[in-house]
Amino acid sequence: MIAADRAKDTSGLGNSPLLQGIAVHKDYGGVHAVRGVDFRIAQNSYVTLLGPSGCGKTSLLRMIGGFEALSSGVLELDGQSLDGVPASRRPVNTVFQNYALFPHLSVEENVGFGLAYRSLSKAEMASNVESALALVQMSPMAKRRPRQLSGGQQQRVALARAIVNEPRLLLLDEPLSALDRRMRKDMQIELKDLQRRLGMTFLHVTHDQEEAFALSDEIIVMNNGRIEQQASPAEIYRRPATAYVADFIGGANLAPGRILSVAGETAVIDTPLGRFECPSVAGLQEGDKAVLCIRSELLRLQAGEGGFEAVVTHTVFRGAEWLVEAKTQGGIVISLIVDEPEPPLVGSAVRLGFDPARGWIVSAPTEG
Amino acid sequence: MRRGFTPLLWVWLVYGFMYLPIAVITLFSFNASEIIAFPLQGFTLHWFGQVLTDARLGKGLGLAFLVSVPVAAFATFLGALAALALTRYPLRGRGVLFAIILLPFLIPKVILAVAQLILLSELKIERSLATIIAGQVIIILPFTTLIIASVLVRIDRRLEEAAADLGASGWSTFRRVTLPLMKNGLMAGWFIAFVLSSSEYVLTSFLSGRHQPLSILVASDFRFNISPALNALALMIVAVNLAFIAIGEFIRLRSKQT
Amino acid sequence: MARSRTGFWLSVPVYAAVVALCVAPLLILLAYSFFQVSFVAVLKEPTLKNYVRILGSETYRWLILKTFGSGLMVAAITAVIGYPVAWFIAKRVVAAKSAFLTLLLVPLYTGDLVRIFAWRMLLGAEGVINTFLMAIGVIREPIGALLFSSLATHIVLTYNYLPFMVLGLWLAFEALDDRLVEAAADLGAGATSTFRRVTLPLTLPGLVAGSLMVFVMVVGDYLTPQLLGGASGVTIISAINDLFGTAFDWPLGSAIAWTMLAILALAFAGAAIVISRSSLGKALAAGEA
Repeated sequence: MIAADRAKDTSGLGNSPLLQGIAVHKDYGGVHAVRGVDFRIAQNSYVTLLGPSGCGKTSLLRMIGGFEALSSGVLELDGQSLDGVPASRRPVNTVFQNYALFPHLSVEENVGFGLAYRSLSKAEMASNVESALALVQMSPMAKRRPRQLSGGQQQRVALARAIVNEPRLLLLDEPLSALDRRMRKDMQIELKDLQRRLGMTFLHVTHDQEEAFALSDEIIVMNNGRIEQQASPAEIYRRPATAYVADFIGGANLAPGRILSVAGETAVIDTPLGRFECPSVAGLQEGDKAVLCIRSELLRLQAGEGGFEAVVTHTVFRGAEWLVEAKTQGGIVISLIVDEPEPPLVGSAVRLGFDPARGWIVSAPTEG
Repeated sequence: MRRGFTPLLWVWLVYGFMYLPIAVITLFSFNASEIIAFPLQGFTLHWFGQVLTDARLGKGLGLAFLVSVPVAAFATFLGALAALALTRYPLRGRGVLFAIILLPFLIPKVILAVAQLILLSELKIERSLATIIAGQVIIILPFTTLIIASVLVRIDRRLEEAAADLGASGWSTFRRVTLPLMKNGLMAGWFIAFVLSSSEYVLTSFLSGRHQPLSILVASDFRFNISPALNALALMIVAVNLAFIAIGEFIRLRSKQT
Repeated sequence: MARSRTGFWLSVPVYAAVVALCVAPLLILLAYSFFQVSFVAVLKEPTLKNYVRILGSETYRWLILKTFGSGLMVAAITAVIGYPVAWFIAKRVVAAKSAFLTLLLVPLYTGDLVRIFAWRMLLGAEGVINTFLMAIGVIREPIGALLFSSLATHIVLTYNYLPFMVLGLWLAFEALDDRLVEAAADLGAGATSTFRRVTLPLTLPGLVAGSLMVFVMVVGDYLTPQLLGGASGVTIISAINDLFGTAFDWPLGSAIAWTMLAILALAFAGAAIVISRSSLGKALAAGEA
């Protein structure tokens, strides 16, 4: 029986991880898709792999699923190495991007496909299929063929087909990318709900930052084959580990500069916008090249002293507010949110300020 | 490019040209006259009757089945292997396999036939139904391979990954996913192979020895024994071939829907 | 993963079949071409005498040229007839493409002899065409040259292999991006100019493939000339046929056969070069098309 309504165990991080990757590396004849990454996935958590196309997230997922071999490194599930274990024998199931439902089988035959490889009686199989379909609200469609279903419905069947096998880890490969906006939002809520109720571990690949924030207990941000940061959504948003993460997550103004001094949790950075003391990542030293990140919503138009000057270049109407783009003398492009009926005129000079306690300093990206 | 009415007219003319002989055969198979010429003399089914009661033709038909059914089976089986190797599995030297399969198609049949004849004589193998079957299979192989491959190419590769993900081993995946989805290609291939085999003359005449399948009988009648009954026979052959092809195509097109 | 070995094992029976039934016979054929016949036995001492004889014989050279000439001519005729048809099916037919193509192939399934038989009835002095024309008063006497002539042979050869040409051209047209033709028109090119500078070069691989198929099949077709061509119906292939039949000389026949194969191989090589240089060929090689 599917164990629904299992209590969610959030202490997973303290126990041994469900999945551990050590120096996982993948290259396709010279093209390095995944460059020696380390990561841990906790039990009963919802983790997303976030990044742009080509960052290696899909390659990593496929290696975990068993569809690609690692070039080097180790993957361990429940402490056991997955080396040499074929996809068909891993307690891992995948929801494919285009669903990959078997067109020649009905919905219930699709869902029951994997159960044929466990020693279950016919009655047990039938009842498991029924429960799985009920969980995704696809019971009335049991006898239909995939081609008779809409995209959203096919997606749920794909989900049911995977979870009915009670895998230790469920992999989702951009499952919502083919759905329209409204359906995507609905499915996100359902997925999160499902994961909580089943107490299963979900690893979800996406390039949509909003989606990652909505669903995850933890996000793994990838770029160019490397993991930039693995942390909770709040942590990633407020304290991005690198300039890349800060930029990718959205809406950060980045000003390059140099560290003047470091004191505990904060550092003083000298940038073309001025000198500021802000919270910073660990490991910065005096003289290091660094980047100051200021979120667009934290900048304010201010009169009088303080802050820095910029000339307005664009204004974009966004319904509830205006997005204003301006350029400083040093050529740095700034974007800020203005919550007024009228924005400052294009071409006019404005003074911008922010609360340094909410700024954030990361080290500059190293070249190459 | 070309617009308007003229291309359509041209296409009609071409298709008309292609069907002219068939129209003529049909017309004269029902014509109540010993002479195959205009003017038409009246409707009759006499010639069909004559064909259906000709024992010799019956025997030829029986032999044709005896040859064409195994040929279709072998050609479909080998074609399936070739198509699978070409489309579904990583294979080095895929181009070579493709060229090898195409080879029998590119050699003029007579040359291939005489070459096979020499081989048989060197190996001291007598000509028989088996030799006809072997010879025909190899020239029909390119066709069955192409048909089955065209169906296989449409099958989503992710389906096989999904099956493996759900616990199916290689053979189980093939049996439960790939095979059901390629079934239509196999059937279509079988029908085409059967038709091509039963109407094959050149290779058959070289390799058949004393046996006379239908195509050989038609040839000898054509040379020595022309009568309107031949029209009726021809029409029946055409009709049956068409029916087979239609069934095969129907099956293959249905596979596009799944 | 074990899959790479599966592919190999799947191909083994196919290789075996083709090698045993096609490659091996051709190799023995090659061997025989160096032998000689002496009454009813075959002398298995290698010699080039057969090839010398072929190249030296005016008759054989003429036959070879005639056969290849027929091949080229029929290829050209089917190309001209087939181009508009292929274009039509690719660009103007939306839903019933498969039907159009199948209908074109249907006459092929009637079998070699039935086809020849039907054309005999059409072209004969007392055949359909002649009696029809006389009945409506266009001619007073039957046109003798319609049957048992070179004209008859070539009409029927065109008929036999037109579908293959259309098939080859159709594939090329399907791959032809309409917008390229539109761009040409936009830039000022008229119909002929567009065809010459855009359509023709881009459909060239299809033309070459179709021509190759037609060429090979016309060269190999000895029945049609023999049964419809009358006195003109002797081809190099029928010469081979005879040498393996009544005029027993297997080695000479083999030598002629291999001469033909050699020339065909050159034609293939030429076609392969043309196709590989074209963009479609490059796309196929890269696994895209």
